[in-house]
Amino acid sequence: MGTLKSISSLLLFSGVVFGSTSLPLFADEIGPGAGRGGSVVVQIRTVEASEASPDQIKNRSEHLNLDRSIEDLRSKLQKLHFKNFRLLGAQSQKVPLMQKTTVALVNGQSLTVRPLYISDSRIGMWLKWRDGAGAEILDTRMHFDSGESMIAGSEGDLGRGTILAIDVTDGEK
Amino acid sequence: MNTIESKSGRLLSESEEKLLVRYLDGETGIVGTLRAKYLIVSVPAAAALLDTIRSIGEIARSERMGILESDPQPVDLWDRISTRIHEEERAALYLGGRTEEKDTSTSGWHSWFRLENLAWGVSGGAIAAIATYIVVLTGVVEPRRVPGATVASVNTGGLQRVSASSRVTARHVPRSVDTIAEAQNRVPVPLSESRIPTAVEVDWVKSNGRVRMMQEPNERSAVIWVKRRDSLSESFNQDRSTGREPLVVYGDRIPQSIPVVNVR
Repeated sequence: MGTLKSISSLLLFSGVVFGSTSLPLFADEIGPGAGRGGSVVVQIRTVEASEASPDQIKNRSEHLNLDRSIEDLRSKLQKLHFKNFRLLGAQSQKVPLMQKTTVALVNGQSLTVRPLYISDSRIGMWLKWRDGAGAEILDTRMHFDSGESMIAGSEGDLGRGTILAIDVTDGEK
Repeated sequence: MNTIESKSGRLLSESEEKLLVRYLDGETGIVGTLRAKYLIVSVPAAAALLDTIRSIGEIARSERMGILESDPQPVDLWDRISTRIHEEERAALYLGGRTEEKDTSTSGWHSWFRLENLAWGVSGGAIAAIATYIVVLTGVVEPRRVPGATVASVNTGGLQRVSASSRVTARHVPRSVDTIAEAQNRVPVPLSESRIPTAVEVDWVKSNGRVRMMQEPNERSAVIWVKRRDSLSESFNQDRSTGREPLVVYGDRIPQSIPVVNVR
């Protein structure tokens, strides 16, 4: 009985291998971005966040202290418990759809992106964020609006945090 | 080992689920692709899983078309940012700088353990597998995608462990959604007409820490915050030094299901 099962499994596997099934061979054929060309432009701003300084605590300052270059993120950053935000660097990368690209961030971390599709105002993307030692901080697949900054942050030691502001736009426009 | 049970009784192992996800993402090599295809052919649950994940991707992509207007005149990204900065500066000039509402819920590590944070919190090794995907495989209710719902569960494993542990959660998610239908003798309610589309939709999240998603209903973006495990441990140790009763946020004491709520 076991032998019969093994043979049938082998035959089935052979059928898969030699194309007797209509299943696509590559995931790209069935993925949401199947058959779509094009590219996206991924803009990454790396921001260092820190908690209130002793002076800020003393003055009970509620004001967020952030660089002018990230002023557009103020409303989003207000949701976090940090008070000070400093732009470490900004990088831009054009990435073809369904292709994986790793961007080395200015703080030694890395962000791997793989755009899945872009359709009008919507973008699907796989993101993998690693720290300087290569440990995985975040690995996700998500869908969001083009032109909107997507914020991903990570809490570090000593009251500090790292924030990535990710903007994605259609690379063909 | 956590598994997902198919209707036919054949179980998908963790590695098989992971393989299928990688296959869908195009991350498998030739051998992996062949294994995945073999699995899809031989195990109905594998095909169902693949179909579900694909359909969710399609829904997420197509849902907003026709709901949100696309920008008629594409603007360079930096122009957008620059414009936004100017707007903020002008607003600050005329209206004064933005001030935060004093909200103790966002300060201090202990805020992570508040109920609403737990509701949105996604912990441990990974999470937010899609509700529909779980629901289909467990056969709890009809497959239906819950907009804006983050399936939050707590675990410390990989993607598969999330799926398995989310089974409990999935029973909560569709239950609340189906209440109307049940009250109306199972008359289907077209949820897509009544719901507010969310700006950011997450298929799945993996992390070595605890992930929290902050998304305002009226905003078109979200903040994903990761509290890494080492900083969680640090908080734990600090708490021990103060003599207070520590809260363990990952491990066996974690609640196995967390209700999904829309938090403002």
